[in-house]
Order: sequence, then C-alpha cells, then structure tokens
Amino acid sequence: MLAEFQRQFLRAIYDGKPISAAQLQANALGRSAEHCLMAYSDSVQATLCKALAEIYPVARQFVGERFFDALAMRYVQQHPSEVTRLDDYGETFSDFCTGFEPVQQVPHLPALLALEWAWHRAFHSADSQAFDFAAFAVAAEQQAGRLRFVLSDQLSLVAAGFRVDQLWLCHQPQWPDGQLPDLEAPVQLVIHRPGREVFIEPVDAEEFSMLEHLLADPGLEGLCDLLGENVAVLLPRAIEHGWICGFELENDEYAGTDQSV
Amino acid sequence: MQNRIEGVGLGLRSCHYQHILSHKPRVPWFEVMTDNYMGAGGQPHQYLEQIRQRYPVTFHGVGLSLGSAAPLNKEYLHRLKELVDIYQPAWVSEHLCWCASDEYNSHELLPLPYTELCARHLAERIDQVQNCLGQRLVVENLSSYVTFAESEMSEWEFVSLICQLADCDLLLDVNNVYVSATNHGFSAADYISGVPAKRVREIHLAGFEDQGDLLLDSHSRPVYDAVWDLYRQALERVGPVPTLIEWDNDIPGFEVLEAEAEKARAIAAQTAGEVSCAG
Repeated sequence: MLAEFQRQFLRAIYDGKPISAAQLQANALGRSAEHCLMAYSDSVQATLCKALAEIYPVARQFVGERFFDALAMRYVQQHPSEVTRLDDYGETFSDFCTGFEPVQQVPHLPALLALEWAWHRAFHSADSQAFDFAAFAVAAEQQAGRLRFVLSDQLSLVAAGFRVDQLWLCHQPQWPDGQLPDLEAPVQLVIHRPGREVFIEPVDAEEFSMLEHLLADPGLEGLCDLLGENVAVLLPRAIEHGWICGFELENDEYAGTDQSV
Repeated sequence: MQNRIEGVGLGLRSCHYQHILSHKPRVPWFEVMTDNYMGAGGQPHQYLEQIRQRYPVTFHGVGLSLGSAAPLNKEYLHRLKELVDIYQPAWVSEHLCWCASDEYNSHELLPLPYTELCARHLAERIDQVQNCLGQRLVVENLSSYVTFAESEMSEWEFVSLICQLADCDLLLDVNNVYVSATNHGFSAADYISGVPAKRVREIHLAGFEDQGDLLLDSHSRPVYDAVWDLYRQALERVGPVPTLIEWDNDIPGFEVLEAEAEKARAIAAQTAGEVSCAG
C-alpha cells in the first residue's frame, strides 16, 4: 500500500497524474491540496534543472541562460530521475538535444554537452593509481596472452566535426578577451583526470582508434594485432598519459575472475 | 582528528572551500552534506580531507530515503559507511522522509502520513542503517507542504514514536517546525514541548520563503525573527545542544553565515544564563 502510494505521489509530481484527493487535504493557509502538491513538483523540477545547469555550465553560457533553462525544463519533464545521486542525472541530455528541433539552430550544442558530461564524469571519478611498470614487464614477458589493460575510470572519448574543445576553452576565464576560437576542423578528444585537474586533450586518429579498441577489447594481443609495430610507440604513450592505469591477468581456469595487479 | 561538536557550526559548501582553507575561520565545526561526496574521488574529497584535518565534522544526508517502501539502497548505504570510516564524523544525520519509489527519484524530502505503520516502517529501516554504521543515527524532522487525511497523530508524536522505536537521536530543525506549523496550522510551541528533549542532539536553523499561502523551506535567506524566538524556546527545553546554520540556495559570502552563527551564539549564551539564574 505504501509502495503504491509513493508510486502515485511521484507520478503526480513528475507527470501531473491525479493522486487520490482523499489522501491529501488543503493546508491551514487556504491553499488547495493540488496546489500544495505542486509545490513539490516545482521544487523537483527546480532541483533537476539546477543540477543540469551545474553539470553543463559552458553550454548554458554558450546558448544563454533562458534557452538553456527552457531546454533543461523540457528534458526534466520528459526524463524523470531514476538515479540515486543528482550527479548522475542528465547523461542523456546531449542525445535529447540532438533530436530536439529547436536545437537545430545551435548545431554545436550536442557535442558541447557530450564534452561537458565527460568532464563532469572525470571530475568525480576515482583517483588514478600509479601504473606498475615492473610487474607489467614480467607479465608481458611470461603471460602476454592473458594480459588485459585497465583503462582509467575517468577516461572518456568524444569526437566532433568541429573543434568542440576550442568552443569549451573560449568560455573559460583564461581565454584572451576578444579572441575568436577557430572551430573549423574535426577533432577527436580524450577527457581524463590524471591528478587534480581534468584534461581535454586532442589526439590523433591512431591514438583515438587505439583507445576505442581498448574500451571494447582490453587484451594486449588484440591491441598488437590492431597497431602492429606502432604498439611500441603508442602503448607507452597511453600509459604515460595515464589513459591506461593498470592491467590484469585473465584467469583461464576460473573464467570471470581476474587477478588484478 | 578532532571530533568535539559544540557551539554553532556551519554547513560546508563548495563555494566556501577556498575561503575556509586560506582564512581558517574560527568555526567550531562543519556539517558535511554526504551526498556531495558520494563520488569516488576528485577535488571534493581533496578539499574535504584538508578541511577535516582542521575541523570537527558531522555528516548530514538527504539521499537514504528512509521512508521509501522500496528496499534500502545498499550501494548508497555502503558508500556512506566507507565515508564514515574515512572521515570519522562525530555523528550521521538523515531526514525522516522518503525520496524515491521503485520507479523514480524525486531528490526531494517527501513526507509520510503520521501513522503507527509508517513510524514502524521508518524505525525498522533506521535500525538497519544503525546496524550498518555501527552507531546511532540522528534523524531530522521535515518541513512539509501536504497534509495527509489518514494521519493518526501529531507530527511531534510521530517523531517521538520513531525515536523511541529505533532508539535513535533527533536533529530538531526549528525552521522546519515553524514552516510546518504555519502550513498545517498547529502550534510550534506544542511541537517543541512535545519532542523527546533528551534525544535532541543537534538543532538546525535556516531561512524559508513566504509564498503567502505556503511557506517553503528554501534555505535561501537569513533566519526569520519568529524562528529565532522558537530557537530560544527550544534551547530552554533541550539545553545547550550544538546548532547549525544551513544555507543551500543563493549562498552568500562566508561572513554572512558567520553573522548568523553569531546571532545563534548570542541567543544560546543568553538562554544558558537565564536558565542558570532560574536554576
């Protein structure tokens, strides 16, 4: 009974679906039960819109507060929160905007939102651990077939048909006054946080492809097949940048249980 | 790490990190919003570690959803336990509310009807949390905007029953008492007289928004005079318990919070003097 009441209450808040009026009464100041309930709807919408504004500050600056807030409100109305933490709300905001007709006037917005989500994710992720080169040297020599890389939790990849990193950068305080960003080139970016600060780094096609591959298949052998001789250059670079933060040995006998090193 | 909680503390907010670290203000303790540190790493934790080295802290949460019919979120609870082990707060507080159904999360502190069934439900879940954390939970009374027809008792009787059933402590939010009393037309003084005084471990003070036909617990303004008066009555009843100034929206400069804390300190000192003379 409590479960059904709570389901109804939240549907009323999010979708405006009627709740049994008998359950609620007008308040002592003369406001009707329906209007009292609306105080919660307003508050929930305001909380979620504020969360989006905090996660996507550059996008809000880029399109203007009025446009962004209206967009956020539409998103909130169509996407009730199903996450526990407010920090996790709004992952699909970029996808929503891609398909939302008014956003066609600002075609750079979805990529900018995707970049900000990646930045936000890196900001809150676990701190990186130092890569154990000595253990890796031993494992690579003796058990290369079982070696699988661990990518940093903070790492995200974003590709765009324009310099979305420059668009982001020109909204930062350190950007020189009056200088226009040059957006005229496609870009492939790695977003990660090797230490205190989040980095947005343009990478070349080969590095991007390597990281895309590792996200799908983190095994050393597959990586060697993909990169050929270039693995000797690209792999150390990925470790040095902190994109790869560790490795594990796949356990042949006990499938699914890995030995982390 | 210091853990003596006394006097008037302030809610720790990210916009004040730099001020606190560079000016080291004479604040006796900070209340940490645990939901802001549920993330695995990054700057929030780096700042909190530095602040924790210098100041005692308490933990205050909004996301446990103690009153939900859906099962307790074990992942959230275990992360809370990890944070407690790391930062060792003097105590952990949460709200007597629910936030989520099995479908959606409101991220809002939603009320329950004041029935024995709901009180028992809350008490059982508080017990689970206390068992996991290995300490007594401190539970906070809500401000609420809806009145339930099926309520069987007053809010203070409901709160008292939960504290008794779960053997937990109470965070008495005086602003919430005032807001709910005005919205629902009961006596705030009766509420203060009705709570179990010995279980009150902390008091909260904040500002509300007056919409004419509804008071909203906005935490966006200074404490109202009527709430200061109620605070005085609460201290007379429960004695000199630690007090916290909360401010979550339109957060002003740190000096504004310090001025509010100074007002609370003055009232606490005056009340303690009067009680002492009367005694």
